[in-house]
Amino acid sequence: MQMETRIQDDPELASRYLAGQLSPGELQAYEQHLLENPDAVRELEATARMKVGMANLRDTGQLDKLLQARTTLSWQWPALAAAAALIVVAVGLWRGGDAPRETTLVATATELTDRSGHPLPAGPTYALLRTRSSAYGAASAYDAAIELPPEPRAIELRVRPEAVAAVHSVALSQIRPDGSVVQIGSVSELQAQPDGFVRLYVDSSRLGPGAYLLAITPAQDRAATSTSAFRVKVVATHGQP
Amino acid sequence: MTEVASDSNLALNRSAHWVQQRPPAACSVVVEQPMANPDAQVAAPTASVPPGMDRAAVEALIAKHYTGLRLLIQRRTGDAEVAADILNQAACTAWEKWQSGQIRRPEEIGGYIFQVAMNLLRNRRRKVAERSDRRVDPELLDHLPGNADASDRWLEKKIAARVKRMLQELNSPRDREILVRFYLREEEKAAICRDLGLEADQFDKVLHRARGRLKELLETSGLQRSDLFMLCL
Repeated sequence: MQMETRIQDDPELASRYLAGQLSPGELQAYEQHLLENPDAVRELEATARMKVGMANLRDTGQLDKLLQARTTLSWQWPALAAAAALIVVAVGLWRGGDAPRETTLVATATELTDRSGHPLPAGPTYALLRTRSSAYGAASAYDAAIELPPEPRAIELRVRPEAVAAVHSVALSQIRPDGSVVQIGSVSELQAQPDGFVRLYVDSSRLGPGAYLLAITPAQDRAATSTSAFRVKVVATHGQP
Repeated sequence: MTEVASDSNLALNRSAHWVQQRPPAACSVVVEQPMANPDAQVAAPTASVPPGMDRAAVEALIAKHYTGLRLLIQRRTGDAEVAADILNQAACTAWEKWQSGQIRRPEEIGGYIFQVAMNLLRNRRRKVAERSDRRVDPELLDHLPGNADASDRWLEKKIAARVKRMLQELNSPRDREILVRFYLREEEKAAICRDLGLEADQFDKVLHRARGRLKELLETSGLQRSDLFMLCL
């Protein structure tokens, strides 16, 4: 039963099977699973099509272009805001009940746990709101600077969106040195507080020093036309590498 | 391991396109009642399929519902005729097991087809690798252009177009890199996660989303029914 459960929950088995990478034990268990589960055969066929499609893109020279099509953004604020809007749209599109649980960004602190499953201790609180100096301001301006605690903590973020709505979605992305934006976490169905702030929590162990972009969008705004984006700088604790 | 066919019979049935072939001599076939409606199901026949399903119906099943497997094997072998032999053998073995009652339910046929085909492919790659007179890196076979016919090239192009759209819709270069390294380059999950600083659940989430989106694209592509044999998942 444990093996069966593991097979059902493992999204990589189909690809490894087609690649001939399963161990003899895994192979036996997986093939038995295939004989008994038509859904697993469909998954296998879909994986085969994914591989064939990518191989065709590679052969026709299209794959390199796709991989090079990075969202290369400068530190100009309007461009970052546009990227943030794209990210939040993606959050809305991808939001699904059966997706694996997001553990970087959550709505309540108790959802963040350590490796033992214990809730992370509470960390510092930071407020993110638009200030006159940060909106379309200088390239070096950040809306907040988060100092990483030495041990994993649940850092509380209080975000004040510019658009008024009862429910919001938030995406947090890392901005790499080359300007590309890589989403590292998202959370939806966040209720706005009476004071207009939206509260969420981030696992400090998932962050590293660098620049980040936090985008918040009303849940009903599928076009992400009213996204608010905040630049965040994460720094190591003094004395930490 | 469940019993599967060897590749000793692969030379028995070479022809240009496997779906147009007649049953090979090694597979004694009594053609009975054809499958009622092979287009009606997504990936595997159901209990409504007549128990007297013939060998041609199994071939039709592969042609209509296992396009990915067929094209993948063509790529892996680099030879459409060898791929046809492998798939013929898979169809033959699946049909024989059905006839002998080893397959209890019709929906189990798909699993046998994959199992036999992949086992034959593994055996072939192993033999190619072991041959001292014509040693070829099996990995290179994946990159051979192959000699697929025009209809197969068209099918592959259509599948590629949907994979491309799925990749384009990913706004994260990291996610595109994950998919390509895992599905195409067949790198190990642990290595990809280590390189990109990912947790296992983040990796799984990317795969989950990509597969779901590709399925949506295939299902909503709006092609005609005659094209469904490449679109059903």
